[in-house]
Amino acid sequence: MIAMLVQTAGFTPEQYKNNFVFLFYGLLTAWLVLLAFVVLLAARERKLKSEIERLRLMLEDRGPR
Amino acid sequence: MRDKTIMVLSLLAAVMFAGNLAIILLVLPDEVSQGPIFRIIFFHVPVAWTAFVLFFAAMISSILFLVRKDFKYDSFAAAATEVGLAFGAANLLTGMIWGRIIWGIWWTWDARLTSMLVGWIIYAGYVMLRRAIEEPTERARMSAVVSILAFADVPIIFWSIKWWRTQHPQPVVYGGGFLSPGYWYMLFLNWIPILLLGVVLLLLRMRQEQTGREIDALRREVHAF
Repeated sequence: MIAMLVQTAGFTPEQYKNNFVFLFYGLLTAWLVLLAFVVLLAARERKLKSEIERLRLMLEDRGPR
Repeated sequence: MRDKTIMVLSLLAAVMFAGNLAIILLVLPDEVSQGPIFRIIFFHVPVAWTAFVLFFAAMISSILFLVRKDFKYDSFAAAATEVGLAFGAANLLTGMIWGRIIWGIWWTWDARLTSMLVGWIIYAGYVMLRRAIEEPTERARMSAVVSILAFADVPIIFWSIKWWRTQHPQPVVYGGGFLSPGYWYMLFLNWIPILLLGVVLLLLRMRQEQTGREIDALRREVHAF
């Protein structure tokens, strides 16, 4: 099958393999970028939650004005 | 309610994307002159469209903030810009990987590539500006102005391949380039889960902006003591 595709496209087997590897890199990169953004969002979410908790505790400790 | 929406949209995007990926890798034939790497177009182009839609939404929201002075528009613009930047980065990087195989180089200072990079840097500047200004009203007003001005680059990116002679392929959507119907259909079909993912990330980021505003309010209360 691959040999047939290689023949059809006019690529040497080495070129075809390289072409496919770069397609994999491309797809991987696109998803890694978006995954990195999701990780960044999750880290920020944790930071915001702990900050809001800290401020609430600070207000509770001070009691009513 | 919002959590449920996020969950449903994420699942829908994941299912659609899995189906699309199977078609892209196993069903669609190789493009004659480019080989397998051509398939990168099904990600490279939809992530760019998603980024442009988000930048457009950010600009509209920024105008609405300046007119109505409602901070929910500022939150939306900030969230849309940040998510748009992530999609813009994915677009630039997938384009570079495609260029390495087809052109033999990672990068060229061609009008399309350069205008996209400039746009990305301007929007990154928007995010940095927001971090630099502490006062919420001033921050919202300044970043709204930057967002409106930054959008001026988007039509330049879009039309650059028509206006100047570029190494980047001609547009397949609004004339010049050719795409066979099977590829054309897949391009739009794969835009749906990518756009859905954009909406999910936007909702998540907006929730954080909302929490950020709550923190600002709590800080004011703490300092009022």
